[in-house]
Amino acid sequence: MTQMLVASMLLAPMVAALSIQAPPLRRVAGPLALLAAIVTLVSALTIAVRVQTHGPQTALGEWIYIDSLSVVILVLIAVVAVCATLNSIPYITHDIADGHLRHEDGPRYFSLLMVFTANMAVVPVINNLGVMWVAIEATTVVSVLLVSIYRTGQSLEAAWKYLVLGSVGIALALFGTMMTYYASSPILGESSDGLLWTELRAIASQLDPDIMRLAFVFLLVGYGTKVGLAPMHTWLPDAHSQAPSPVSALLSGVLLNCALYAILRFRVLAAGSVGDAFTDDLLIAFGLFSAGLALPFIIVQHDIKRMLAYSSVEHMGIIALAVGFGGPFGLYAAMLHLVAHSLTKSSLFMAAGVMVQAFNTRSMHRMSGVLSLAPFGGAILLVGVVGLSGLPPFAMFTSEYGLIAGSFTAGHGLIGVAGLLLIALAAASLLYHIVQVAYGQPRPGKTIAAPGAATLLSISVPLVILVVLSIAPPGDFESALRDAATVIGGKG
Amino acid sequence: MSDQLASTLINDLSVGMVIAAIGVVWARSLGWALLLICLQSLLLAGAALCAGLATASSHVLIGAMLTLAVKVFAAPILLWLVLLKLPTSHDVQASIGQRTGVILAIVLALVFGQSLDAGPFRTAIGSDRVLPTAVTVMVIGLLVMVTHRQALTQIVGFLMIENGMALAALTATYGMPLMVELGIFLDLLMAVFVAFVYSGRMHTIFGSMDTDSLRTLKG
Repeated sequence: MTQMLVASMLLAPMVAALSIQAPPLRRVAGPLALLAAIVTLVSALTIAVRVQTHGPQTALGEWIYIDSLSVVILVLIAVVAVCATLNSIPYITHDIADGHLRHEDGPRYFSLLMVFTANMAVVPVINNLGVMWVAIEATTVVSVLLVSIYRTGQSLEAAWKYLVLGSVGIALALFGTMMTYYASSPILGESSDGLLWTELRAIASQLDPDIMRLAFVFLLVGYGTKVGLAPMHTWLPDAHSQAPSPVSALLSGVLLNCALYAILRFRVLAAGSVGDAFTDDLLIAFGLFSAGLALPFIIVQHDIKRMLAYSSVEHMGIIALAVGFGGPFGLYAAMLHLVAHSLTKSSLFMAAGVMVQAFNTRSMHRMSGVLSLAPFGGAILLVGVVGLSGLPPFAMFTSEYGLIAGSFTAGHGLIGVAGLLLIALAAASLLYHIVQVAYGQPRPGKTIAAPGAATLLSISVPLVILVVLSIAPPGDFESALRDAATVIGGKG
Repeated sequence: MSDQLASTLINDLSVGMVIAAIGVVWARSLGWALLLICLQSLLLAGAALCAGLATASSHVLIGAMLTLAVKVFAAPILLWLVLLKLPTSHDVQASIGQRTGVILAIVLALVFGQSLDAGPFRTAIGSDRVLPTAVTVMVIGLLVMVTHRQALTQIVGFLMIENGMALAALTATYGMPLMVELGIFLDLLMAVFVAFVYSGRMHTIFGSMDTDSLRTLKG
């Protein structure tokens, strides 16, 4: 059963990607892709229910392993993919009409989008850490093509940096993966079992600590490059701001999670071998540095999409920090923050995309008075940023509270306070920028076309989900997060 | 092939890979850089062949064939096509001079070759010198990526990092499991292909492949 569900989840977008290329189907590329994304979402949700009721699932021999942590990542990918695909339909039509894209770019875009979706969905369900690396590296190559779809000098520059830095970074992660395999080979032998996470977790305490220490450093720096942890983040603001906005939503909202997911899996192994203190100190250091480094760039930013991208660097840092603090508070906070960030950021990138198209600029100075010009879109932008700022009643308030609680429990109170200060400053500057955009005086005579139903639906759905999860979280959601936190704690 | 012989051969081949790496830093024309990276991949394929024959394991032999197909033929051919499209200068443009670069590469080779000697690794084949040489190749690859400004030489640097990694994997664990190895080659080929497409596009848009044109996105 799980096998069938995984198959339909991955095959639907792949089949769509191929069939879109057939000339008679090119006209309906968008709706076809949307249909495939919905199939993926339904399959992912069904898998989630199965994991919730029957515990972790394995399929295809030992190739597929899905536990609560996988489910959280997977459902987020599927939800954001559906919204981004829905959002893409009017977005791409608009860009073709405006001449930013050529006619034939449409089907190509939707094909790539579907391959990208399927590719990301492989990462959280695969048990073999080597194949997981292959899948994550493949996401770089596929998404690079989406970033450069505009064929301008700047998008080429962003794509090139992303390809080069992403590939080198991830090569380091391969070295770390290889060392993990080397550490396991005396115990599990030289077979592909030696890279199965389930096998490795069982023998984590017997892995050579010297090798695992080195391996974790390589893995953290390597996958950390794709997560956007500073100082390896330099490609991220370029790629996330140059990509078409629905793609930015996927890149920031869920692709970063995929790389983080790999770090979390390896952290369990490394912590089992060398102890928590080593892995957690590294995570805290990178986390705090990322949050700190992103702050000045958020403050002085005038490009709305770059601002959101730097905010992703900051939030990835916060999640790393929360994982580093560990304990029941820290780990739960990390999972909740990850969910809240994905939903908020994807909605914000798509809302920003609407504004960028309406004003034909990314500069926030030239976007004033959004709330009176486009009330609904402006309101979503404002609500999203309030959610991203961690103000109550939004889930980020709870997760940041958990972060502080976790820091004191772990005896890192001072670092926790420093983290909170950075969070507060970043939130204040985000709010400052967006309030200007929303409430500023619109230029005389400026009008913008009201966004259509598909656009409004796609940008509001993630926020509606976030509000429900924040105010009245269903019991299943909370228990799924708790289970996922147990998995990253190494006890799942 | 006896283990002893295989170990000696792999050792010599890995030293050859370091020399080829230094050669890429020395090269002043793009053609030479390509030829040397091609040679380095050939040496790697040879090392994999020795390991495969010594252990009689099919997946190491398949790995050797794939190295030959992807790293010795496919990737360099793609890069050669980029080179042919360049109308004028085939000179390497680097931010440090030839002599400085070569001296730096040799120093790096000596430092990494010596210091990693007593690492936690006890390799299954080859002498314990192979892992240090693998890391040296990776570090020199990184040096090439950082100091060379053209898109083409950056890809060469990336391929060198990959070669170093493959050498390390080969000697530490006889390579990765076959499925993983296949995936790695597929990814590598895709990445080089995308880079191939981009260098063409870079040429159309900026009129050169100098990555200095790619400095507009800041802050």
